[in-house]
Amino acid sequence: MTKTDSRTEKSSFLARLGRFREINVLVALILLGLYFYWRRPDIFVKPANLAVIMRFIATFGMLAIGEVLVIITGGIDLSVGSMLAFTGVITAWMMLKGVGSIPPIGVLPAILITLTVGTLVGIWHGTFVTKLKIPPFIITLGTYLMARGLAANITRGYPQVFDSGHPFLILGQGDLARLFGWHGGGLFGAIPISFVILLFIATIVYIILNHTPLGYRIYAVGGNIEAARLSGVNVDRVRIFCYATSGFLAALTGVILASRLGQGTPVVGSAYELWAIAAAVIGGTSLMGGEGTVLGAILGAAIMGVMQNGMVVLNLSSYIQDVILGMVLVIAVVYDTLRRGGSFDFLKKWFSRPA
Amino acid sequence: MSEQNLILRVEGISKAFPGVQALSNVDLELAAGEVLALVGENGAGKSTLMKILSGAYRKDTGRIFVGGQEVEITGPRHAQQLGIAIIYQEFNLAPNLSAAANIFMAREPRRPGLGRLFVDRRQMEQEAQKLLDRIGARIPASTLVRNLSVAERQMVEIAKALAVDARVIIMDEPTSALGEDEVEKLFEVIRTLKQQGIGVIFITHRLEEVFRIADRIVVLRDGARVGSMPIQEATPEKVIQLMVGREVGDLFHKQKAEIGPPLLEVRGLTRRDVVENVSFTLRRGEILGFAGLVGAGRTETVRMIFGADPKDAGDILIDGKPVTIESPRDALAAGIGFVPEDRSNHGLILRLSVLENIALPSLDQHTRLRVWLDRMGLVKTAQEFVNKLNIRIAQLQQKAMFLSGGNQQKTVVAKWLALRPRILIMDEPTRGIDVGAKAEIHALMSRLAQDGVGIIMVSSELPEILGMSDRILVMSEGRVAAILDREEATQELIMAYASGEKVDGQIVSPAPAPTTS
Repeated sequence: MTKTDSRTEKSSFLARLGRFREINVLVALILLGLYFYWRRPDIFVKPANLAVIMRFIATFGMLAIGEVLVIITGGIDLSVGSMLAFTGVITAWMMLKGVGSIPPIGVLPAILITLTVGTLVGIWHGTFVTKLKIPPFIITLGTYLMARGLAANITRGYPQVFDSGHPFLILGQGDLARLFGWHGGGLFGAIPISFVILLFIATIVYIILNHTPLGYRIYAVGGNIEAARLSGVNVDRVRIFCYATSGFLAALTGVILASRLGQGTPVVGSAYELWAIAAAVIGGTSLMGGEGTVLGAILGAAIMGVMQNGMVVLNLSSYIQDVILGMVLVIAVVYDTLRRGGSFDFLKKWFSRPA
Repeated sequence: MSEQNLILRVEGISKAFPGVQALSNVDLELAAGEVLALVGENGAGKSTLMKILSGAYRKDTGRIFVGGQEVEITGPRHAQQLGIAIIYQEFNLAPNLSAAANIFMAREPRRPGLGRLFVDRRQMEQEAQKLLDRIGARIPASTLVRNLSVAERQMVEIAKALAVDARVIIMDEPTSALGEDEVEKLFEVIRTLKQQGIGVIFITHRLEEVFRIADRIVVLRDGARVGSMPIQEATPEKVIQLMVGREVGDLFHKQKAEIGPPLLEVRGLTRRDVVENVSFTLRRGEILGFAGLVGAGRTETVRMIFGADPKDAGDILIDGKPVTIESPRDALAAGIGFVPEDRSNHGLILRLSVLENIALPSLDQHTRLRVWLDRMGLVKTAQEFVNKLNIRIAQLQQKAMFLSGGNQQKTVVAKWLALRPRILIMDEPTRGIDVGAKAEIHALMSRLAQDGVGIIMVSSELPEILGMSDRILVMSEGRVAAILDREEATQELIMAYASGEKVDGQIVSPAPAPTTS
């Protein structure tokens, strides 16, 4: 596991680099970037375009971090795409219309309530998975259906649109230049606020995974849940924490997306959970559990973001874009499996004459 | 041994893994109808050699001859085609299929004509029954495997090997999960195989069994063959000396420790149909041995004490005060450590490093402000116990899966010692580990007892029980059959209680009488 390997003390810098799994993804990312830059230097590195990529990474990076936590413990969270829609809608609903007889509330309270709701849904998932032994696939699939249905029911299908200039919109649409009133900030100023939030969240989750007892226990539960339990780990609590974090991050992303779009709409975020899982997997997370890192999740999201944006810049048809992204996912996983001790022996078999 | 008789010959096999020369220049011969015992410490290369023969690994150099023909084994299927079958400690059987379906898995007999699409179940069961009868296993072929005992599953595995015309059957620690009478049944099967001209390679840690069943002994040490002799020329002392390369004194011997006041009291521990009304007291500095046949409820009892499984009734007292233990976490808090029977599935997280494994139970003791992990402190503690227990690793970051059985077991012990427990429960602490590591674990247990730790040791090896225990609790069919003092205990007496022949001081015979307690 890279988590362990990168901690290795007595080894040369190069040896450490070789074992550092994310380096592969990073190299791929740089090559991709160079390729698109070479093809369209005029568009690809413009601050405005880079901001688009960063927003993409912010959305899927955040969701992928949640998935990584859940997947390390051997679970899966299929609800996040629908949760985006649900949390976006309730945020807008609370700010614009108010709930029942309660009048609309301020931006901050509405966001806090939404994040709490997301976390509670995550705890709900975790509780079903741990206490009732319901497969995570099933319980989160239930929410997948319910959350989007509720979102549509609340809005009766109509999006809840913010007026332009609503203070809430800064969260998703703003960048550092606008936030601090800089002028002509260039690339640095064009960094979206959502991307900064992602870096903040990533740092916190990184610290949890690598510098707290909880992080060790998360990997332990993923590695062998019975051995972890017999070592005194409260395995239920660890798993519930991971689902809760995934729910929280889905809600946070939902709020940011609602702000970005200027509306709470039940149609947002369709199939985002699968994209987030793909990002996690491209970043080296094993669906078998026990393996995965925050950095990997972000790099995985970055690969997908750069690919997707680059293909738009190159004017590829959107149908072909999906085909290529699917291929990238498969290639990434096959490469990683082989790198980790699979072998190319089967090729020899195919290409050699029978003995 | 004439050349024609050899069904398997191995010449100069070598195999290296990163950082380890697992085998160097090993020779091996096996004649038809011969039972060859392959012995050696863990890490000596037995398993590697067997995996090469069964096609799981490829050799680096060397030659393999099957029936006089040189062969290059390319994979498990190929090995099977060559007539080499291996029976692993963990069985490869589908529990929800019948014995017959397992025996003919992927080679099920078909009906004629269009019926080829369907399995001819009757024929399959008849054929399977013939194979089972051939080895003297009294199992109906239609029985579901999940309803079979461990020993019976082994027979199914053997029948499966015969179904593909195996001429060489390799058994990796076949007796480690068997009770005494089941071992005898297995040996009968092996004798039957022998008469039919099948060569058996038998890997075991129990020397006593080697002398009961083997025709010849081959000893491996550090990847090299260090001895081969007919059983008539071998003695246990000679074999052990070859295995370890040094003289071994008294293997099992507890040093004197001061036995203190009662530490752990268990009263009326019960789980329906498994454990009934188990009561005993463990004192400071005492090693209490748990003896009994497989299935007597020893593991179940200690798992309940540790909170790993729920109990229906019973009280646990520590220092005379009742404690509630409903989960392993509670047990930890009460100062109880538990070295489980199945170290690779329950004791360790194989994918994590030695450091992380040792740290896991004591993470909370190594934090600043209960949140931030003190990694330097963890490393220091882990290194301290790695040194103390003489765990042989290149670095703390080495993954547990790459350690030998003995070093894995020492790692499990280390993770509990790092917590400084007052009570240590050890379930089969030396099963499947080499003689050297075994002696080290025994010495360690002695030292712990001298430090005032109370130890419960479940063991199926009577010499270990007799050598290490201050008192011996014998279980039979879920109950305490007797608690014996070290002085009065003998192998015969323990077996008499364990098998239910003797109950509460009186010999029961011939039919088992109802217990008096």
